[in-house]
Amino acid sequence: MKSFILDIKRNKGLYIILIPVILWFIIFAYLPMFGLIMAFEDYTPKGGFLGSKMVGFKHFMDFFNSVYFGRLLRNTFLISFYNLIFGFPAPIIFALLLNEVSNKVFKKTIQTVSYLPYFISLVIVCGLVADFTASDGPITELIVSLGGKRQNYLGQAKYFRTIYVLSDMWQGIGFSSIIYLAALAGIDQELYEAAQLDGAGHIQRLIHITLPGLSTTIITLLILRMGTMLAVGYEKIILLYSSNTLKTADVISSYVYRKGLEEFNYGYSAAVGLFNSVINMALLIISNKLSRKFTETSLF
Amino acid sequence: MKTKKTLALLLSATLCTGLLPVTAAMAEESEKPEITFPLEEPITLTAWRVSPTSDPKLGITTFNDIEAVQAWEEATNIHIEWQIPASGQEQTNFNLMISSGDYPDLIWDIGQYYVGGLDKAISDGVIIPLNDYMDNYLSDYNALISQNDFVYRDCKTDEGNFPAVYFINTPDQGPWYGMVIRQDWLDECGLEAPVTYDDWHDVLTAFKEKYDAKAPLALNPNAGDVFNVFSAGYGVGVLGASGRGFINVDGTVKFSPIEDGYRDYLSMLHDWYEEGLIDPDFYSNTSFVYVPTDDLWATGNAGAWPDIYSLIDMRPYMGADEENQDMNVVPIPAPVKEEGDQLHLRQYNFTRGTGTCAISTSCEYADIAAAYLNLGSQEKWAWLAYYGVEGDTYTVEDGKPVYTDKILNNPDGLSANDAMIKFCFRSAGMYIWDRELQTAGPKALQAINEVWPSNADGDYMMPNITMTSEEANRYSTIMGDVNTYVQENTTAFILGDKDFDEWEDYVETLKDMGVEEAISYQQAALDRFNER
Amino acid sequence: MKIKQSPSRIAFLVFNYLFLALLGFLFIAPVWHVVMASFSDAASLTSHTGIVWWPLGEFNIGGYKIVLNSPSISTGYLNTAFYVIVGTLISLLLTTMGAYALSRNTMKYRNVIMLFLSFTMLFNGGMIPTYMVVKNIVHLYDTRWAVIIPSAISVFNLIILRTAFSQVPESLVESAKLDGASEWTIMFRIIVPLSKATIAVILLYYAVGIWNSWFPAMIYLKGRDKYPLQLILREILLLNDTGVMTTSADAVKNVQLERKLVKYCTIIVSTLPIMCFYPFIQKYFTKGVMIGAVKG
Repeated sequence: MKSFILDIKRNKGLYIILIPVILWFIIFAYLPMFGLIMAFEDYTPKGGFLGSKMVGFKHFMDFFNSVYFGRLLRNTFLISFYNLIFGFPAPIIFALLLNEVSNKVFKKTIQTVSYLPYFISLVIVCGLVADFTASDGPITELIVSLGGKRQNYLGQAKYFRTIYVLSDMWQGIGFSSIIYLAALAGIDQELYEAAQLDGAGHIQRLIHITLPGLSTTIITLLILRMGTMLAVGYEKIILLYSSNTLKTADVISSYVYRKGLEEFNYGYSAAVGLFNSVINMALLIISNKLSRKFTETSLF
Repeated sequence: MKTKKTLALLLSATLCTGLLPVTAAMAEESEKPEITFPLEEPITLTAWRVSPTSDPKLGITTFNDIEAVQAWEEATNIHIEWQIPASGQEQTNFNLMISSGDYPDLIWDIGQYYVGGLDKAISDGVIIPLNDYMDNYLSDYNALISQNDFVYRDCKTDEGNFPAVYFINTPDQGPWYGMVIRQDWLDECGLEAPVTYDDWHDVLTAFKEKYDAKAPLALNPNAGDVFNVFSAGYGVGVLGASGRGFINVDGTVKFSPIEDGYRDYLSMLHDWYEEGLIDPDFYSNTSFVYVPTDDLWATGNAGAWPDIYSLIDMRPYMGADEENQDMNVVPIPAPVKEEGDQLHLRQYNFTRGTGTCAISTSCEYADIAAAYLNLGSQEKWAWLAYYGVEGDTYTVEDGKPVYTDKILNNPDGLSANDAMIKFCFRSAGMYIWDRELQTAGPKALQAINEVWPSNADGDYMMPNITMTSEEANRYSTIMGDVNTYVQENTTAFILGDKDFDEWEDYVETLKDMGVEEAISYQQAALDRFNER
Repeated sequence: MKIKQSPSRIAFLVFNYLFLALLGFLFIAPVWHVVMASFSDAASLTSHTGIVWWPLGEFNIGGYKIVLNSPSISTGYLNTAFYVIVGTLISLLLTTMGAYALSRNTMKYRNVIMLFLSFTMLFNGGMIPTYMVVKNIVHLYDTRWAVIIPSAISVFNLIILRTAFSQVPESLVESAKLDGASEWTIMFRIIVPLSKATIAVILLYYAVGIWNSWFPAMIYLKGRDKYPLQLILREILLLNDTGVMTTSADAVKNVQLERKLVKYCTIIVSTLPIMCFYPFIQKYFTKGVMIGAVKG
């Protein structure tokens, strides 16, 4: 505590700048956190946080004992995992490839175009995905002409995750690559010129200059990504799944959403949400630790 | 969306265990001063109500933009300040309004949105029971619901409260949902209208062969067929929005998806799926709930489907492609196993509608509010709401209100239905639903009055029951998983991914999930309803 | 100085151009589909399957007429303009302040504070408690500020910005300090100008986020007069969605022929302005404004 006060004294200017930010976090992020108490009660809107019946860990036990617990965990994890290993590097590679383009008009065109899908609302994107993968949709036609089977691809359990991840990538690559492009633009051109004089090839320059230049950005985003590992949003899942794909598509959030639909059970939803948050926090802390150990970059 | 509403409807439905003892209200009656409209001093009431429309072309952003509402305001001297939630987010907005503890004077639609039912809304201190007003300020409403014993009980709760002023269908409403078939295809194939499932099989096969239809029968066996019109012949209901699979066989509650009839029904659908008689993609068409999507009916891919009565006459004009502009869609009775079978599952003749309006505990002018809500049960006021201003939007012919061309052939090109929304509103009390028949086509009238009721009644449908909050808690915990399991397996059985040898396992699993416990809660609630 | 390209380099470049062109096609095709569909004939569109390469039937702006005829659309545009401009400025200011203070390593406890902020990324109280705070504690209910303030800071953006700030060489800051510059001066005169590219990215993130946001408006606003464009358009979309029909028979009659068309027009109306905004920001990414050494 003493050293904290000393720190404040020493960095008075910085702490003054920080005050409004800290205040904002206390009011709009920490104050509402009292609401997490809902996870331990049969919350009713009328009863409020203090007036509702406390039920302890009942909601957690209900969730762990649900016949779907294992399946939900697996689906959530797998979708996140595929999204991580395919969806995370994709914008980096895209940015690097774009960076190799010297024709300005071409580069700008591709970049602008890549960014468009981000603006189409999720409902529409899912509608397009369903149309395009229906048994007479353009994508299905393409697969059939390549010798594939004519069927409704979105309706098949084994293709659900592929379609989910690919459509996510389609929508997000361009927008996510912006941050990397900005970082690439920030790398000192003199470094490249010096390397070139030393006779370094393109590959060497990529490895020794470009990637290290991007590394902080990449690692920061990767750690953040780990923290949202199990946070697969329900909206897209619900828009895409059907009774035939539930076995691969149903995730924790969509389950909670359906539960809420049946019973308006805020307590249960809060409990599952809390469970999700705890796991995410663990993942975030672990990846932060690993990152600090191996790359000297960390969030905190 | 549908399931949510239906559950809210079920939960909000009322029961009562006994007659309310005569209360002090009777004695007080004489002391209540009379309230006459228009009031001498204008007052303002606040009200929460779901938006009349979100259609931008009507230019209605709040109820006060509607001429009939303005006419009510003038005639009562009561100004209403509306709180209108954004469309599609009503439940969220409602829950937040309730949690904030800051209630408007009048809460419309509370029956659909209050989680746990209206008895709970009263015990939670959100709304006031109207019992004390039934014999004085609400006397016309009281008279309206007293006409029918079933309705009277239905408008009361378990605890004997009158929680709100309900919308009472005036007159009774027939089934507005049922099967339709393309008569032009039947004629071209030289076939009679099918009666039994076997007839249907032959007709659908003919459709398949002659027109290469993708889905001769457009049906969504999971979410769709909300009123069980296709499964009724097997004596079972489906999980669709309205039935949720529970049926009431002469006072005994059954959960259809574990009944043998359901297995036989699925077995038939499985055969039909194999033969290509139903939509091969049915399981992925999630937007097919009440009526088939355009890619099925509008493009000659479907020959029969469940439909809403008012849409039948409009079918070809609603977007059929060029080859199907001449389609002749007609209503047809639900299929039966044997000719002459009487069916007991179809849309119920609900005499009590879903609409409600309650008075909140924050209302300072509860007496006036009650008297105000009573107006909708008087014909003259109900007409002012549902038909608008006499001479402008309606005239009286033979003692009956008839819309003028301002509604029926709107000069600004609005459809009759849009014009009704723009100029009229729905007041609580008499719900004059049959006004829409003035715009209904001949086939719609035939469907609702003759064809669909012809071989079916609603005897097996569950009435509006209410569970206690403990029951409701357990029930919903169980049913969330059960419904998912049933949906998944319904699809698997139809597709053949699961063999019917596994039926017993499937039923056992459902029992392990506690489906019998859930049935017992439904049964208890039904018993309370029937015991009155 | 021109260096001869090796054959493998040329092969790579050819591949790269082709591959990016293919990607470009994949990105644009569905968007093109939406644009063309929005000008199509309503009836042809309803029964069409597959990609719409060119307006179906006669060129038709009927869908746009329906969408733009709404009296609330123009208020929606104005409200959204306010939310985007004021909201982005406030968000950017707060985020910059937080990121700046936490990027200076003279601050011993910055990691503890960072943890305090990061924690909120994972745990939040949920909708109802936040609503109660906004309504009963800070009393922003039914004001325009309720749409802007409660969601002003994104920890994610703050972290990205902090990372960028921390890459500015410490020596620059120290020499400024020796010259007697205050923290505010250092922040706005040295750090911010050196991190323009990242600031541009964050600005874009915030602006796009606010442009697309509708949820806070939905829960904190009482009347349609303050609704942003997205909320108004959502209502139009919903109206035209058969999937959300109500159980009442007469409400169902709203089904209309144009619904698919209106859907496409709504997308264009709601996304075109923000798409046009992008090129203005884009120039900051390509100029390479950040100078000085990469993180040491």
